[in-house]
Order: sequence, then C-alpha cells, then structure tokens
Amino acid sequence: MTTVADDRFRRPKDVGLILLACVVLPPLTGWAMPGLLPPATALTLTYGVCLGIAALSLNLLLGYAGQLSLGHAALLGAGAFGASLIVDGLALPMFVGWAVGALVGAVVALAIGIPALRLRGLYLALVTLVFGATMQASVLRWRVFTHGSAGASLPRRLWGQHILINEPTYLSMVLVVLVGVWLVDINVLRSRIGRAFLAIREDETAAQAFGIDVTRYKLLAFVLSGAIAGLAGALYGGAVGLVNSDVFDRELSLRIVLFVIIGGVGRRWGCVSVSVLLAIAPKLPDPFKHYDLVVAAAITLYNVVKLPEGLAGFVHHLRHKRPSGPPVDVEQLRALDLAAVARTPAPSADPTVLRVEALSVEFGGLKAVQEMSLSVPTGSIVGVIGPNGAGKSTLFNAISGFVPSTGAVTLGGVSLTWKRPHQRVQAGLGRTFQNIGLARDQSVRSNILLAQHLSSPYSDFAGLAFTSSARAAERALGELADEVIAGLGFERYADTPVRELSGGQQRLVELAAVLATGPRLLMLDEPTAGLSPAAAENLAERLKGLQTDRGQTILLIEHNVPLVLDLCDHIYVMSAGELLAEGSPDELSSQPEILGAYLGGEVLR
Amino acid sequence: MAQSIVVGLVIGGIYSLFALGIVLVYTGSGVLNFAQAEVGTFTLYVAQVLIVGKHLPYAVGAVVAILAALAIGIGFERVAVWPLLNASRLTVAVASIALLALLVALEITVFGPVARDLRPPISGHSVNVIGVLVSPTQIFSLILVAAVAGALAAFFRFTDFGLSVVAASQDQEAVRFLGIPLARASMFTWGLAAVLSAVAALLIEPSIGIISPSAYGGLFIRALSAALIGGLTSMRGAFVGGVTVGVGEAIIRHLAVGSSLTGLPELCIFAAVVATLVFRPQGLFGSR
Repeated sequence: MTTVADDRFRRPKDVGLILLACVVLPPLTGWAMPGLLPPATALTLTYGVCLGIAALSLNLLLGYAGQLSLGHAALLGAGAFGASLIVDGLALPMFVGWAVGALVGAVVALAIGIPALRLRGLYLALVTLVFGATMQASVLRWRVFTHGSAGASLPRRLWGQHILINEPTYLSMVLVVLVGVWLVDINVLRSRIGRAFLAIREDETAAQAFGIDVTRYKLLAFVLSGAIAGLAGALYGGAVGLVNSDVFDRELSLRIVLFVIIGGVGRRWGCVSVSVLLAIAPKLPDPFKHYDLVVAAAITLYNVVKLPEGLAGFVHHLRHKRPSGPPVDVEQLRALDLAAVARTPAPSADPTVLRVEALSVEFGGLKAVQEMSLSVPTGSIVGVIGPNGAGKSTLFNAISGFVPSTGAVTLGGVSLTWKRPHQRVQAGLGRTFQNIGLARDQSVRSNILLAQHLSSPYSDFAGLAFTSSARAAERALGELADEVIAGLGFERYADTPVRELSGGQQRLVELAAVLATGPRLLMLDEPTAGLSPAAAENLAERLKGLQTDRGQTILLIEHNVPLVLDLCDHIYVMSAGELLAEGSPDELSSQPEILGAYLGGEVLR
Repeated sequence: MAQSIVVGLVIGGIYSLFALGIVLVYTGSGVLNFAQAEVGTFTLYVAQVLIVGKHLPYAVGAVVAILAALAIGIGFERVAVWPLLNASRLTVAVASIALLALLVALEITVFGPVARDLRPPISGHSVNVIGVLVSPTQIFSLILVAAVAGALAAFFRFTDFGLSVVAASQDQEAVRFLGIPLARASMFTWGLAAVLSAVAALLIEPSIGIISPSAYGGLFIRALSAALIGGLTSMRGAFVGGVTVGVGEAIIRHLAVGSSLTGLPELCIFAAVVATLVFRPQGLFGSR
C-alpha cells in the first residue's frame, strides 16, 4: 500500500503513450491481422476490461475504505439501464449513456449508503446484498426498462441512428475509459481523500482524531465506487448489446468480489489482470472452460486464509523485507526538535482555552466520571493524575467526543458539547491516545500527512481531478511532512510502516503528527509510557520548552508523579471518577497524604 | 387470503430455520455466514441424485444430504474459521463468500444448469382445514419447525454444553479461563447451522418445485432479512423474523396478483430491512 501512496508526485508517466496504444492497437490488429482479433475475441476482451473497471470500483471501496459491497452487480445494472434509456430511448450517442450510467450508479449508491453507512461493521455488505437481489427480482424487470421484451437494447451508437461501432473499436474505447478510471484511482490515493479512506479502513477512532468525518468519507467512497460501477455497467451493457436483469445477477456480484480478493485487495494491477484472465477462461477448450468459477472460488478461499493481502501483496512482501525499530533512548531523543515540528495556533484572546463544567460519563449504571469540572488557562500545562481506573482516559474521551457525556465542554469560547469528534478537532483540539492513534499499516510520512487532513486547502473534487491547486497544496504538505520528520530525527523511518517501529517511536510519531496540526489545546494521554526514566525526563523538558517558546497549551494524563509535579502549572487529582483534589504542584506537595494514599508507591518512583 | 397466510406460515417457518443458522453462527463466532443457505441448496442436489437418480428411499437421501451438510459446515469451520480466530471478522465473512461462490460454481459445473425435481417427503392428498387446503408435507414442515425450535430452546437452556455455547458467544475471553472447550463450541455451532440449512432446504423444495442454482438464490436474502429484522443475536428473533417475512411475502404476493410491478414482495422486504436498520439497528429482539 505504501509504495502506491508514496509515489504521489510522480506524474503518471507515459499516459499519452498508453492512451495512444489503447486507441490504435485493437482496430489496427483487427484490420491487419483479422485472425488474431476477430470480433468475438475483441468482445471477450471487452467483457474482461469492463469487469476490470468494475473490480477497480469495488477495490476503491473495499481495498481503500474497508467497506464491502455484495450487490455490485445491481449498481452495474442500474448504470446499464440508465444508459439504455438514453442511448436507445433518446437515440443519443453512447458517450452520453456512459455519463448517465455513472450518474445513476452514484445516485443509487448515495441512496443505499445513507442508511447503511451510519452503522459500523458489515452493514453495508448486508444491505447491498439484499439490495442486489431485490433489484434483480423487481425493478430491473419492470416494463419501463425492458419494454416487455427479453431486455433493454443498448446499441454501440457513435452518432445518429446508424453510425455504430464495431467490436475492436469498442474495445479500444473501453480501454481508454479504463485508463481514465485508473488515473482517478491514482488521484484518490495521492490526495487527502485516499489518506482518509485508508485511515478509516484501519482505525475509525484514529481517523476521527485526525479530524476526518468518517461517515462522510465512507459515503464518498461508496458513491465514487457506485459511479465507476455504473460506468462499468454501461460499458458492459454496450458490449452485450442487450441489457436484462439476468446479466447483472448474484453470480456477477460474487465474481467481482472474487476478482478483487484474488488480485489483491487494494492493488489495481492485480484486480484488472485477474478480471481479464477470468473473462477469457470460459472461452478456453472444454476441460477448462466450466471450471473457472470453481478455481476462482477455491483460490479465494485459500487466499483469505493463507494470503490475506492477495497475490500482489504476497509478491510485495517477497520483495520488501521488514526491519524493526529499536526502543527510544535518550540518544534518539537528542535528535528530537519539537519546536521545528510544532505549528503555532492563532493566538486566542480568551485567557482560558478549555473549560469543562460538571462533566459526567455513565457506562450502563457505572459512573465512570462524576461531575468533573476543570479549566486550562491559555499557555499553561495542566496535569490529571490518579490511580488506574480513576476515569482519566474516560475524561479525555468525553472531552474529545468519543464517549457520550453530560455537562458542558468549551474550547476557546466555542461550545463543543454537541459536536462530533472530528468537529472538535476542527475547533482546535489535538490529542494522543494511550494505545496510539495512528494508522499503523501506513508509513510515518503518510501519518503526518493524514494529520494534516483539515489543513489540506482543496476540495475533494479538486483532489479527484488532482488540479494544479491540489497538486501545489500536496507539494507544500509534503515539504511540511519532511520538516516534521527531520524535526523528529526520523528521516530513515519516513517510509517505514508505523507498525514496524517500537512503541516509544510510535508515540513520538503520534505526538509530532498532532503537534504539526497546530492544536490550540494539546491533550496527551501518558506521553512518557514506554520510555526509560531518563528519556521521559528528556521528553518532559521538551514539552516545557514548547510551552515557554511557543505558548503551547497542554493538558496531560501521566502516571509519573514526580515528572507531573515538575512539569505542570496546575494539577487535578482524580479518584473513582471524582475530583479528589486540585492545586499547584507546591500545594499538592504539601499534602503528601493525598499523593501517598491514592497513588501508593508510585509517588516514590 | 387465508390460504396465503397458511402458505406464508409454512414458508416462514422454514425461513426461520435458515435464519436460526445465521444467528447461531453470528453469536457463536461473530461472523456473518454468507454461505448459510447455499450449503442446504448444495446438499439438496446430493439428495436429488440419490433419491431420483439412484432410486433410493427418500429418508436415505435426506440423511445423506444432512450428513454432507454437517461435513461441509464442520470442514469449513476447521479450514477457515478456527485458523482465523484472531483475524478481523470481515476476513472470515469474506471466506464464507468464497465458500458460497465455490458451492454455486460446483452446482453449475457438477450438476449442470438444467433444473431438476424431487418428490415431496410425504405424498398424499391435501386436507381441507376450514376452507384452507393443506398438504401433508406442509403439516409435517410446521410440526418439524416447531419441534426444532422447542428442542433447541431446551438444549441451550438445560444442558451444560448448550449453556457453555451460549457463554462462549457472550465472552470468549472469559470462557477460555472457565475451561470450556471453545473449539468444540465453534465446531458445534457451524455444524448445527449447516444441518439446519440442509433440513430447511429439503422442507422448502416442494414449495419451490424445482432444483436449479438460481431458484434458491433468493433464500439467503429472505433468511438474512429475517435475521436482521428479528435481531442478529436473538434465536427468538430469528423465528419471529422468519414468520414475519414468510407471511408478509405471501400476503403481498396475494394482493399484487396482476400488478405490472414485478418483484413487489422483494421490494417490501428490502424496505423492511432498511427501516429496521434505520429505526432499530439491533432488530426486534436483538441486543446491541
């Protein structure tokens, strides 16, 4: 995955040449060597390429955004019938039909996606499965579309009533569309859209913490997938010539899923080549011809169990051996330059950044946090301490909107109480997680870019077309990422998947990613966990430096009491979900019974 | 109308057997088994070949079909579910899609696309019960569904193994420490689900009338809709959902006779599923 995402700036080379070859070769071969590309062979190849486009559309949904559709054939069918209404009904050129097919696919996907994607998990797969079967049994059989005959006609009309296109020429046109879809796919991956998709696939919570509107992007993935599927359906219908509900049946939906899994989820080349190969298979001589689906299904089963990333992923692993990061030591921290990493937020007139009033969280009768109130003055470092299970992380999750709570939360004068997590990030809240909120299969660089989601100054449409403004913005973001990585001293890990770094290294990457977004309030959940005492000391000094040099406001949870007493301006002590005490480090130090009684031996550490 | 309701009750009872299989596997291993109905369809071919092709008694064919289903269910559990115990549930669901595709492909290639037929398990004339014609197979089907429901309810409530399977579905971690054989519980739910699928397929065959790969494609959709409406985690929900879908479908089909809108029952089922997911995502009887 990372290799695809990382050559984002390589201009897709030789696209012109490939396009020219696509346009010229099939008709030329058909004319020069009629034996090599007779109409029937061209048609078979066309089926394969159309299914390849369909596989790309499912790959975008499953491979990037991690959502499964089991009714893709119905989206193809909707596109094909839409195209037929236009091309056959209104006698318009087939290109108009393609556009209408894509539009119909997108609209249908939007209509199914809105109810299905609000829920986490496999619900999209379930709803699309039922939808596919329903379409095949009902709407696609209605007279409006079929005119009472065996199916709707979809001629390959170039212009007027009679100018139709022969099979090899149609193949070349379909190949051109494939290249177009391929380019859009590349654009998705190298813009903020693709980063958002991949983050959602890996960890929806982490994605939200980076400011990504998860529901919106899942819907976008499905709508894009639906548009490409509708286009593929219009093309496929044109190849068949006659569109009826039996063409777009359950078996076709299954085939598309198999193509993507055999080819390798998330891998374009694999998906398309498997589609073309398996379209040719039924034309093979007898002993092989019926068994293509049997073999495909068996390979899929084997793949899922033994090679979860598909054939292309397997090859990728053979080529790339994996290193593993060392634990973070003082030496490595010496290279850390947080001031170079951090971006300063716009200065706030409000003397208090965060105000929490009477916040309570209840888990099925258990009061995890009770009536907590706290405030974080601008430019201060505030600590929250307390024994395990005191509700510190729950408090953080409530402030950042991940668990429902009662009470009021205000950030820089703006009420967050009714806002969803990504909206709170937008308001200027940046946080880290105890168990590290990064997309772990992505490289360090991708994660830093992912955190810049909200500061990517271009629309999703501009991202799809990868317009010059999007290109410029991505280049600027790339430079920013380089600076951040240099500030981290992680140049040699820039393209390493986060999963392969040590726990301490991952924590630093997360901290840097969040700091680079310029949060008004930085919330750190146990920033020194997994670090040696000396390294923890070192990190604390740097956090202090951020405060004095840049005026960064920080709220942190920490178990290391001496470190908290040293670092913070004000400390809240929590126990059993309630506020036990609060005060400056000096005030709390003078009450050792509080620290001693509730933190046990930890105070001595 | 009364006739439609009776037909709907019989078919709905059979749907609920399929739905029960989906619920069992979902609660047992957190997986949606997309091949749940196809296992039964596949073994129906086995029964047909033995009963019609080899002229064996119906009971022999039925027992062999059920055993074949058991083998497929347990085999799949051993090959794909147990080794993926710690994998994402999406991965296992995709494995079940591969099983579905494999079974469909084998039906087409081994048994051919030509439709076959099978006689009902019990022959004889239909009886007239207060104006409604009921065939012996339908009566048999109703009794059998009720018996299966009762037996399973008793099994999961009163036997140690049944209770441990329920416990395993609720908290796999805890169960490991209690010394309950998780592997046996997992094998048991997949095996039982496959057997239910084979029984349901044998029972529904007389209502559909033919055996062909496409004729049974809608079954899983009905069963899944039933399970979603009733609640994916509730066995009671599977029965209520199954009967709701069966009776609702029969009534709408009865009302829609002569309408030009093909597939109205299917559309209504889809609408019911979407409405359930929007207003009550956990289903009628499910828990969140």
